[in-house]
Amino acid sequence: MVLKKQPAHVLLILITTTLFFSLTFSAPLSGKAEEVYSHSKMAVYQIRVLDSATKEKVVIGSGFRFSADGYIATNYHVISKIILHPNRYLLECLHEDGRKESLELIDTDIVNDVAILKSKLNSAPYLKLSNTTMPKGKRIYSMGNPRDLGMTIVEGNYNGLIEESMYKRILFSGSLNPGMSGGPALDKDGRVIGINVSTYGQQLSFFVPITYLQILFNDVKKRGGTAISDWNQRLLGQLSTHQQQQVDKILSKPWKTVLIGDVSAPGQIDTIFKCWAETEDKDDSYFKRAYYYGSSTDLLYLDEDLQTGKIEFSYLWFEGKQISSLHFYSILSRFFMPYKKLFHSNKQDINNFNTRQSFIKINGSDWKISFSTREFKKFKNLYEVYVTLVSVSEKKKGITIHLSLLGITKDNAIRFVDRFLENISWQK
Amino acid sequence: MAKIIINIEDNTHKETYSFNTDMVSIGRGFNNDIILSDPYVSDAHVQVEKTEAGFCIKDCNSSNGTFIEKNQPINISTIINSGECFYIGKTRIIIYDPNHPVVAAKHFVQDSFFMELLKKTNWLSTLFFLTVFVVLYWTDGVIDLMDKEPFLKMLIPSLSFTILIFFCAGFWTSIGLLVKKKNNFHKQFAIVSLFFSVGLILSYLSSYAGFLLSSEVINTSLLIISELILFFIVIQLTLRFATNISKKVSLIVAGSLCLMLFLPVSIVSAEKYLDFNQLPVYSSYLFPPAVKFVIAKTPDLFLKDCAKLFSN
Repeated sequence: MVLKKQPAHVLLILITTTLFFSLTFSAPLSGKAEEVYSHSKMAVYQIRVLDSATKEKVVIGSGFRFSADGYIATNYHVISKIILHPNRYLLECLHEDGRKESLELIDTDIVNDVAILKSKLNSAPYLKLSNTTMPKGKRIYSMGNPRDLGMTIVEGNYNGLIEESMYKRILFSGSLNPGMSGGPALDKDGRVIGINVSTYGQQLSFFVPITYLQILFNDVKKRGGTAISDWNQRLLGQLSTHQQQQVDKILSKPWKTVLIGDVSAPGQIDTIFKCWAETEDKDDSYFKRAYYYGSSTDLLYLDEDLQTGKIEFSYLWFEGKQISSLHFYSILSRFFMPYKKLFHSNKQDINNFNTRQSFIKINGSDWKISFSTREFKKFKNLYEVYVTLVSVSEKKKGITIHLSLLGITKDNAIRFVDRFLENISWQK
Repeated sequence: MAKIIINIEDNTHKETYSFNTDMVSIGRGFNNDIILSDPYVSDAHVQVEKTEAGFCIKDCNSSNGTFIEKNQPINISTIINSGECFYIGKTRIIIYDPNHPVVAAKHFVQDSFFMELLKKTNWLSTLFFLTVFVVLYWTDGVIDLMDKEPFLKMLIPSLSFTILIFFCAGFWTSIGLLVKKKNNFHKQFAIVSLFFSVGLILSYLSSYAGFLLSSEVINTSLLIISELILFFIVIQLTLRFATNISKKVSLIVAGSLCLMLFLPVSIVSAEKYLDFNQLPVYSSYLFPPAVKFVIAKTPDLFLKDCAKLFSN
């Protein structure tokens, strides 16, 4: 018999990204942590996604039981493999006392990164969900199993909701570590206020507010607690609704524009966008340059190497100094090329690009435009759209514009690009 | 302008040569103007000279003789008129005056103006072609620079190509020396440097076509086709200068080389359209605004067109 060789790299993929777990900057411990830990430890589990062939773990995360009838909460990104490749993986949890138990996946909210699982154990301790709001600076606790090292508790401060994103997150000044995703964030009385989700460097971590778990759980209860049968349809519905809300919100009001060189173009078009700019004029360069970048803070995790939901644009302004216009356009060509940073490369997930290219006239000046789109394989009717524009009307001045819309429907893409082009004009 | 046109025929092939000298020598040896492979022809067999009276055929004491009529060898020399023929060994040779009606009616392919020009190459033309080439490649390198660089450093890209040209010209010259025992360096240099210079211009022209017509397919196919035609011409010319093979054979060799190249080159270029490609494919070369050939669309019209790219 020929055995199929396993790839040499380690299959264990730890979610969330910071490397070292540090408490050096924390305020003196309140002494409550011990109490919260002993009160909650029996209801917090390690969630494991196992390879169905080898029964070895592929992904680990954390989760917690939040109802008497066996429902367990975790993140979507911990269990995404079960949804996207149902036959290849199994789901189980590890109790604090070392017991293992297989779980059933009930429902998920991909946009808010929440998933509900069900345990068959009827009598087990569970955590209560909190319904109250709290002031910034309050001590809170996060539990989970970082890097498969055993159950831990982390203390930090509550820093309110991040409002700018389409989906809300609680900012936590404490360190979450890979493997803690899906674990509970607790107040001093041991009630759950959020779910561990991600980290953004030292002492900067995020929780999903517990209301999203409650909304999803209400949905589950309304159905009578049955599991979703068509996962693709469920995720597609959530992604479509999300992009519809996002585009409707952005298109509902007039756009702010920004002047870059001699061109006026869309600027911070909505509060969900973060924008950056930089100019450069080196003596030994043939060009004066200016750069502007705007990006929505939303990036939805679908699977490893597959993200969506983001809107991003960047401008690069060039002004030639003592050079021929052939030279000027030769350099501009380089920046009219596809913007490599964004493209992921998995042909299992996405189709090939379709592209149209043309000269167009926007508000009286000539531009060259290329419009490319490709469809997600699993999520029909959702597309990635990349638009690249370059001005071709001036001899030694010009701008390249890149716009990317990830996970958008056809109509919304056309509406968005139309509005985007309307807001571009030369100011002379 | 040619002075004597000589048509050679034997059992296997037929070929026409034109000369702008008054005297042409024919034989099997390397020192002849026309070298024949006929074993019945002597090393130095016959000389044809254009005179007032007509073409003077001089036998150079050949072993098998020169014949006007079969079985009647000429003594030392004889005069024939344009369009008449004589035989040496198993080869028939017809001599024409360039004004002869047969020539005027272009029954023979004469050497092209370009071939005539190439034959006149010397060290001055070599210097000229080298300069043209270096200027072109230097410009090509400079227009790709973001930052100012010292002048000498900007010559480096063209330098590597210059070495390549010297190598190619040297290679074909040594082949020529081996086969024909004749030094063709200036000719080979002109051919190879023209190949690289014209090739660069062609690549710009095809990018310009791709830019105007907004099509990467047009850009790539024009590039492949034009460069292959250029390659075909160059191989054929170098072969003719470096070896004794006939025009027909050189055409066949160059043609089959190009066909052999065409297939892999097109497959490699088509790969980005056939296989999964991480990046969208479009023509990204830009050129300064010049004469307007293409009418720009309105954004609405363009987006209506783009709506067709989505699968439903």
